[in-house]
Amino acid sequence: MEEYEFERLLKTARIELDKEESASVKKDINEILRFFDKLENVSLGEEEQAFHSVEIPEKLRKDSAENKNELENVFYNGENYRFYFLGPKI
Amino acid sequence: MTGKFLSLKGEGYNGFVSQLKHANEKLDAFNFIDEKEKNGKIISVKDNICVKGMPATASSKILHGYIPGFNATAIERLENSGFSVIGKTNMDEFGFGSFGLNSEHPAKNPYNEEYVTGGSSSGSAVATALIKEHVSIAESTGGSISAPAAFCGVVGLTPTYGAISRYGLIDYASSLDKIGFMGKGADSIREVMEKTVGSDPKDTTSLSKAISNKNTHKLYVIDNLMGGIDEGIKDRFEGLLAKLSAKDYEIEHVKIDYLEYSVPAYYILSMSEASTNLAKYQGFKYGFKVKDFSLNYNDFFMSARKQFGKEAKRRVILGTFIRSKSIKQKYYEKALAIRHAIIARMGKILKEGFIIMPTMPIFTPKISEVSDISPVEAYSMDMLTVPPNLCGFPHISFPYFYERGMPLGAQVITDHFNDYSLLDFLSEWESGFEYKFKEEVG
Repeated sequence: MEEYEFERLLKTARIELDKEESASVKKDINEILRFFDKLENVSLGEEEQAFHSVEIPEKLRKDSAENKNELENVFYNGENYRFYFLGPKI
Repeated sequence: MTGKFLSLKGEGYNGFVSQLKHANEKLDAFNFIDEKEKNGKIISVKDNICVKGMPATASSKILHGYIPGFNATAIERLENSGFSVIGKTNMDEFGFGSFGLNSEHPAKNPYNEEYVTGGSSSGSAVATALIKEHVSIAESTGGSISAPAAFCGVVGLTPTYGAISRYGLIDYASSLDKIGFMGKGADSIREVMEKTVGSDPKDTTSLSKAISNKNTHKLYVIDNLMGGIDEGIKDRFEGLLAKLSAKDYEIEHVKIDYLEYSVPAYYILSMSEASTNLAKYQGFKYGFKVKDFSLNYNDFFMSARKQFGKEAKRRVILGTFIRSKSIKQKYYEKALAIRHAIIARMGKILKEGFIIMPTMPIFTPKISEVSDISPVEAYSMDMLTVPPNLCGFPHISFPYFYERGMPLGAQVITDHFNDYSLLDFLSEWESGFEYKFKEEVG
C-alpha cells in the first residue's frame, strides 16, 4: 500500500497515528495483506457465501409500538440533557 | 449431574474475597472484584459481557468508566438460577489476541508467571484455575476459550453459534462471537450451559433448536492441519490417540479441502465486522468521554479513538480497507465462500464422528518469546482453533498431559447443536485422568 493510500485509509477509518506508530502499523498492514492474498489462488467455482455459520431463520417483530421504558438504560452512562445525549456538532 | 460451586457466607465470604484479591495482585486475573457478599453459587464473567452495576471495559481504555445498567441475557438467566457474579475477568482488548498480552495489565499463567495465559479469555482461564469449584463465563470469536483453557490447564467449552444469546456481549465480530464456559470438569459446565441455552427475543441470531448428545466412538484426525504443528506436540498428541484407541475409539485420518485458508478467511471476516462494531465508541455515549464539544465531529471521533490499543487500531484500519467497494470482492466475499466450503466439508465428517486435534500448535510459550512476534505470526498460532470457530461448530478443549510442570490441551469438535456429546466425551475422559489444577483460593 502506497503512503497516500495509507493516509487516505487512516482518514476513512478515523484513526490518528503518530509518526512512529504510523510507520509500524503500515508495515504490519502490508504484511497482513500479503497474508490475505493467499486467497487469490483459491478456486471456489460457484460456492455460496456463508454470512452465518448456522441457518438463522428470519424473525420479524410485530409492527407495533411498544413502551419499553428504556430511557434510563440508554442514558445510564452518557452525558445528557433532558432526553438528548450531549455530543459534538455535526 | 450437577456441578460443584463455591457458595460462601459471612466471614467465609470475606476471607475468600481477601484471598482472591491477594492472588489477583500477582496474576491479574480480574479487572474488577465485587466485595459485596453474594447469596448464590459463585461464577466469574469475562469483561466483555455486561453485568448490571459492574464495570465492563473489555480491557479497553475507551470503555473505562462504562457501567452497564442491565445484565446480558446469559447472566440474567444464571442469576435467576442461583448464581452470583464475583467479578469481571481480564482479557485481550475487545478479544483481539491469542496470548492475553493485549491488555494494560496482562494476566499471568497460574502454573508459571513467566508464561502466557493464552487469549483472549485470559482472566477467565486463570480465575478458573485459581478458584476452587469454579466456572467462568467466557467468550470466543476465533479461539478465545480453547487457547487459554489449553495454556492454563482447564476445560473450555465453546458452544454452537447461536445456542446462547449474545445480548449484552460487547461485540467483536457478530457472525463469529459465542458466549461459552471455562471450568474444571464436565458436570459444572453442563449445569451452567443448561441454564443459559435457548433463544432470546433480544438476540435475533439466538436459536431455540434443542441441544443433543449424539455420542460416537469415531475420531477423525485432519492430516492437512497437522503440518504446522510442533513435533513435540504431535508426539504427545499421538500418545493421546493411543490412549483413546485403548478406550475403544476408532481413529481415522482424513483431509479436508480449504482448511489451509481458514485463518486468513477468519481474520478478513472478523476485522471487517470489528471495524463496524467498534464505530459505536465515539467518546460520548460509552466509557471514555471527550469533553471538548467545540471539536467538529470527525476530530471529536478521532480524539476518542486514540484510546484504542495498537491491535484494535490495526484491526479497525484493515477492516475498513477490506470493506471498501473496490476491494470487497477480493477479500470479504472470497472469505465468505471459503467459510461456506469449509462448513460443508467439516459438517459432512462431523455427521460420522468427532474431529480431534491438539488445541494449540506449540507448547505454552514464555511471554518474552511471543511479545515481539509479528501480527501474522501471532494470527497463525490460531490455525487449530479457527476452523471450528469460523464454522460455528461446538468444541471443547481439555487438559490431557503435563510436561515440565505445564499442561497440554486437546480439542474435540462435533456437529452443530450436538454440544452435550462433548461433555459426555469429557466425562468419559475424566474417569481415567487426574487433573492437576493450580488451586489456591476458596
